[in-house]
Amino acid sequence: VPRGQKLSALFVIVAAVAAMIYTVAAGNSPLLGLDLQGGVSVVLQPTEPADDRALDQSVDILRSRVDALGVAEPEIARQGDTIVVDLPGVEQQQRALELVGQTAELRFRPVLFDLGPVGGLADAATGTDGSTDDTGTTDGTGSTDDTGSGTTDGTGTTSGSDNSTTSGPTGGGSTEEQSLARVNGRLGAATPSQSASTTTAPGDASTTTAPDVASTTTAPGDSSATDTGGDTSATTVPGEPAAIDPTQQAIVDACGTGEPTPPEQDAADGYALLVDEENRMLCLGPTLLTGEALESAKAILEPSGGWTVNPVFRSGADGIDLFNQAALECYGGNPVVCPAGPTGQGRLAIVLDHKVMSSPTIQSASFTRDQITISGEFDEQSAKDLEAVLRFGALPVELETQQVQTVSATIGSDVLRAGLIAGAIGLGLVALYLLLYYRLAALVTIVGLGLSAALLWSLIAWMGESLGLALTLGGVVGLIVSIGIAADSSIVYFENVKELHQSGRKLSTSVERAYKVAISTIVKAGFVSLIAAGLLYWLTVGAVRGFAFYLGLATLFDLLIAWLFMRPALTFLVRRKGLSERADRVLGVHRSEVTP
Amino acid sequence: VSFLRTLYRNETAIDFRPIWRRSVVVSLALAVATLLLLVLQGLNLSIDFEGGGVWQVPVADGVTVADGREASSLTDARVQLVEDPDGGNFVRVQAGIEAIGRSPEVIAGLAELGGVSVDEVSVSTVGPTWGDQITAKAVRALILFFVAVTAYLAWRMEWRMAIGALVAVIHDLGITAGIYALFGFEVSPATVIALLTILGYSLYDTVVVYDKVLENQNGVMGDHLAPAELVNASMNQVLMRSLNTTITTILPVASMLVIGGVLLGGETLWDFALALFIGLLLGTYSSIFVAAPVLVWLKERRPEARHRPRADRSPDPEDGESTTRPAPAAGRPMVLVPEVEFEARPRKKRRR
Repeated sequence: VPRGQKLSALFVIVAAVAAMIYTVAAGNSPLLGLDLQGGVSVVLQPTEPADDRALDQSVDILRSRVDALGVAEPEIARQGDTIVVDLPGVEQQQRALELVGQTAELRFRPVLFDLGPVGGLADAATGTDGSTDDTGTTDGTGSTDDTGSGTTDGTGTTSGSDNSTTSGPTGGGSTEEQSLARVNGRLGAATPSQSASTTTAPGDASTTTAPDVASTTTAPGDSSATDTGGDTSATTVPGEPAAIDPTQQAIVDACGTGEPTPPEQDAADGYALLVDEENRMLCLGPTLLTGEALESAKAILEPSGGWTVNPVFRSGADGIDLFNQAALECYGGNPVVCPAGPTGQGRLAIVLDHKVMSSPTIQSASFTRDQITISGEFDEQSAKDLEAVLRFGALPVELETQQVQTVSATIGSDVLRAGLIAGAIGLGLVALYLLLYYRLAALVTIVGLGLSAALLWSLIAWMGESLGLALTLGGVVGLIVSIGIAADSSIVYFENVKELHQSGRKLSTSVERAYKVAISTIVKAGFVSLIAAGLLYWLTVGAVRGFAFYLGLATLFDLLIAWLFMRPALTFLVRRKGLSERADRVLGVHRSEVTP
Repeated sequence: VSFLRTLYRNETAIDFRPIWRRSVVVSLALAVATLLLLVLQGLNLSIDFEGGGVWQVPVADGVTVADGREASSLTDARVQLVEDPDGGNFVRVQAGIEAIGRSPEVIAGLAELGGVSVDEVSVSTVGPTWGDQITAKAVRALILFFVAVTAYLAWRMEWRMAIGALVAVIHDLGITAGIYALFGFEVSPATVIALLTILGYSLYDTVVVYDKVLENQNGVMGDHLAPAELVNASMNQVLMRSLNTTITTILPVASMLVIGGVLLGGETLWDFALALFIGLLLGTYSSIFVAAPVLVWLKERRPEARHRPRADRSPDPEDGESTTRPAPAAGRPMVLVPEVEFEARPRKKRRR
């Protein structure tokens, strides 16, 4: 065997063995697509043309929603103007469908108090987290067993642990529901006395500007003057709120102080601890109105050079009236519904997908629906972002569900098993046929298939582990089909060898010479396959794409084996002692067939 | 047996020319029948193209189709009992786009029927415009593919071969579609994938046949034989190879069809395998009986190619490969073997 050929064959063998060793050592295994392990796939499309940025934002929002489900390998990707959400292996399939399909609500919620930057709080939070385990044993019944179900443990501990440290007796035995009920009760009792003072707010309706919370004035010392909840939290969360009055205490209990409220527990009419755009933790009250009250919004560059956002509400009872009711409470600083900040007015937070987008202070008791300005330290980007949030509500574009597919785990594994068995039997039959027809030369094909399979398996497993690229049923079919293609290449070669040998060449010469003709045919035909795979991958969506990808990959490896391995392996075979020039054994050519 | 023997030994000397005359007529007739079938009967498209929903739930023995219909709360749905090879049955409910909005209701009903959680119900719904879009995308991909492959083959081989390959591929795709229309097999995305694979195979086969023609054309044969004889001789040379590749390709596909589809009940797998099986047979047929005669026909359309021996001709300016060799000396015997070249290395003593 010529040296160059020997090296190329060795290269392929070493590469295949090394790849297999790496794969086994790293414990890589292919990531199965949802049609093979069960799961949910949803295809979404914007109802009207949308730009790239809007689509990318939508993908981000969807990803954060799906993260709550704890799927190991969620794939949320744009394919052109389509968004494909693949959640292989997700167990709560119907819940996943709801999460992806829903149009998240834009909520206007009062800011009850400002807990200050998350960073400062994080220490406190870890502190309480650390102590949760301890308190879990001391007054654990209250904090951990609150609602009983496993998924709510997180919130149970965050609200519970604080309760226990701040106000032991009241907080100790309270479940979340109980504590909420208690808050509501107190709110009810408190409201009459407090609301008297709030209604008297005189407002110049048209020129209301609200210094954005984002602006520096509101930040740290905000609550020191009127309500006590805020500033204590900025320094030490657990310790001081004990000193505040019962109404405030009820709100603290309802919000909790540790971690932000997880999305699945953030109900529209409940209390929640959420992070705002400046990374400050805010305690928010029940939703006062939703994005449905909004008609549109516009980001405007003021003559002074600053950016503002002007929302326009719908007219009537479902629009501006709702907003004005909220404005009345906040402008008056109703300590229960919407407590006043340092400026004497309360803040109304704009919340989307459990994130506070902005929380302006309300500077008037009454507004005209199209004469509202949200001002603050906006730059162009943040103003336009807020505009988009106000205009489109949930997602920057309206998405329509085009395709939903759920595959139960049992069906998925059945299909996989059927595919694997079919593939194995198919491979066996091909090997048997080739052995019968081409005799020993078939070993070259079989070893070549084995090498190709080792390389493919390693690559697929690696892609599954590091790129999250899943092997779908379409892919499995593409791979099974590629067995045939790989055999094809060998057959083209062997037939050429046979032909040359029959016309009177020595076997070893034929092996050498037939290669040039055969490889040219193989490359031509292989390229046609690659063109097909490439175009399909590029131009289609979903299952066809997976198929095209794996067919293309398999074709590439087939070409590699044909190019580097086939000739040296066959040469090696015909040079064996007792086999040289035994075309009957090597290729199944009888002497009588050879033209002298 | 003796035919198989000659086949095995690559010694066939079949005269394909009279067969081609008939096969082209057969293929034309099939093409017309396909067109009629597609127009009159149409394809049985799955919900993935038409929009609609399919729900499937495992149920205990004894549950009837009527139970399934009642549980689904859809009156105009198609309800089937599908056998699960592992034992038991599935109830499969299929309905049009108007049912998509009621999906949660259907899921809840079926889950109750099967006595399982809602997450055990398999759902597939497709919006009304989505099917049109993926169809449009697939068609666009197909057209671009044809253009690209034709260009590639015209560049690497000859434009006539590119056209011949194109005709053969369209023949295979069309007639496969016709068979689907005739028997009312459901066309699913899996079918489309399979059809695209067939496309690849069919081209592969045709390329191999044409490559042999090209090789012979540039060799001794090309100087002496008329196009029909040349292609005929080449066809005989690659016949066994063509059959072998078909057999080795069909074996895994047949295994998918039988094992995957029939024995283990993988519905999608069966979809794939059926279209592949039909298409592969057609692909082999077309490379021998369609692509070859089309090439002959195209080559013979050149007026000078008809009767004059090639030696008298100047190199064909139309063909990219103008590697025509100098005319052999008169009286040299014509041999139908690939050209013999002298080897650079001194030969060892030959043992025969």
